[in-house]
Amino acid sequence: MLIKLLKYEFRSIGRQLIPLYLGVLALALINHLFWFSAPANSGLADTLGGIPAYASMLGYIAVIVALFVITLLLIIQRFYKGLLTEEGYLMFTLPCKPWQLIAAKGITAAVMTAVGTCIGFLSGMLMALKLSDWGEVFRAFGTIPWDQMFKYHAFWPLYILELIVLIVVCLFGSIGHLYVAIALGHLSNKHRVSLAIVAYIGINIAMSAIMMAIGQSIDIFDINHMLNRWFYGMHDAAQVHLLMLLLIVGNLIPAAIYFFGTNWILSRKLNLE
Amino acid sequence: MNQVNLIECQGLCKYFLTARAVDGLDLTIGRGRIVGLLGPNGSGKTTLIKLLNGLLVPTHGAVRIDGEAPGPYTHSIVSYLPDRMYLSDWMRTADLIDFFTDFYADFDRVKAHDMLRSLNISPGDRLKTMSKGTKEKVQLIVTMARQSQLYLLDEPSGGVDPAARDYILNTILTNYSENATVMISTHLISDIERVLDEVVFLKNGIMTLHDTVDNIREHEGKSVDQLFREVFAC
Repeated sequence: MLIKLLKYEFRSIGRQLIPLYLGVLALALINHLFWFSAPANSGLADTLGGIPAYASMLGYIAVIVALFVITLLLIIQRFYKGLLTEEGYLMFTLPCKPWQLIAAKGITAAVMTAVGTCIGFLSGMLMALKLSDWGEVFRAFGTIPWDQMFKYHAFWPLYILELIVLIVVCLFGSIGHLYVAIALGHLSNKHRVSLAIVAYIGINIAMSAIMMAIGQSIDIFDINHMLNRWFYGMHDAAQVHLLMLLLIVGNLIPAAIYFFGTNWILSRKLNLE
Repeated sequence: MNQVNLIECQGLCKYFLTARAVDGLDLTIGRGRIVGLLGPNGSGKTTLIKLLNGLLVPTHGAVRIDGEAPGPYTHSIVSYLPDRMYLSDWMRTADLIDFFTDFYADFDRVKAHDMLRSLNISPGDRLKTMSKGTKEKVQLIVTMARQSQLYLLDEPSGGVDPAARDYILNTILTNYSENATVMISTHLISDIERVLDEVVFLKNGIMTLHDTVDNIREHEGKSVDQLFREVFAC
């Protein structure tokens, strides 16, 4: 069921986002021609008083901003409109469980964000790098001393894996934060959007308060001396892995609370008015 | 499952902040029946249908369809036509047919295409550009193209012209699967009275009558429409 749900989610967002991605890349290429690929004295950027060149740069900045704004709006709209307004009458009567509906929206939102970020990064490189620069980039990869890296940091791929896991967990945490706030907002019959905004800010404040309370309790009970002794007694690599692990778990807990909270609200308190 | 009773509500209540939309409903409906869920606006018809679909959670009491609480199983055997448009604007008719084929094992896509063809709706037509009336018919077609055990139809002919009403009623009567129960919520009783087996009267969330149409005619000596006008006279 989840795969089927994902299929329709991707088809729905693809229609809106793929043209935008192509627009970003096309404008990056046009800017590359005006600003980075022509010889300095060719005067291409000054054609017609520089209007086309500056217009294309402004257009590029506008589509980059649009890419991130539209991605954020789509994440909110696909969840709110797709589940908690009229479309919810269809989605919540499909033979699947609410967690599958939430997971389908969440996975699509995470992929949207990741692809949008990659497209933004790629467009910057397309714009700024000449053809010869790309060769340099690939050559630079070839000069990385892989054998030395394995010799001195045997588990370095683990750092990368931990970083990827941390980014994914943080991404799902941010999406879950939005979803649980929207789900709380839908419990109101009249002020759904304003209640969702209040819930979002309230959760933010509550999470900050919890983090502060944890920090202060470490100070109060003087656990930090004990932790410092234990932590600094470790090998350097173990310290990094431990820190990454703590960050992952620290972000995973709120992400899980958001997911289960949203699922509980949409399973037990669904209120499609 | 195939329980004898298809719908069972026990002490079913749904309270909102300012109203008791459904209040202490005890109702049992069997198989192979066409049931009219009748009552004036605000009597709790839509709330009851939403409770049967799991779109609202009861405040008290229980609701079961084929012995199960609303969930993935009941959704797989209930075909629901809500009183509003639930279609995604980005879809074409063909996408909607694919969607229903993917999610409902009992969906008959050949039948759906036949019904769409009879209305001159092509698979490539965008739902976004259709008129409200055409969208309503498309929703009815995908609902009735399922071979379900229970059809829950909320105001299927509300707000359409008499010719469209005939089309809708005819589509319902010629397409529901054998031994299935059809529950139709409406206040346009005269249109559907001739096809009903049973009626349920709701008033302010309370069931005031549940009887067969034959009994009503025999004991009250009047049509359901006449009785309705008497019971709900302002």
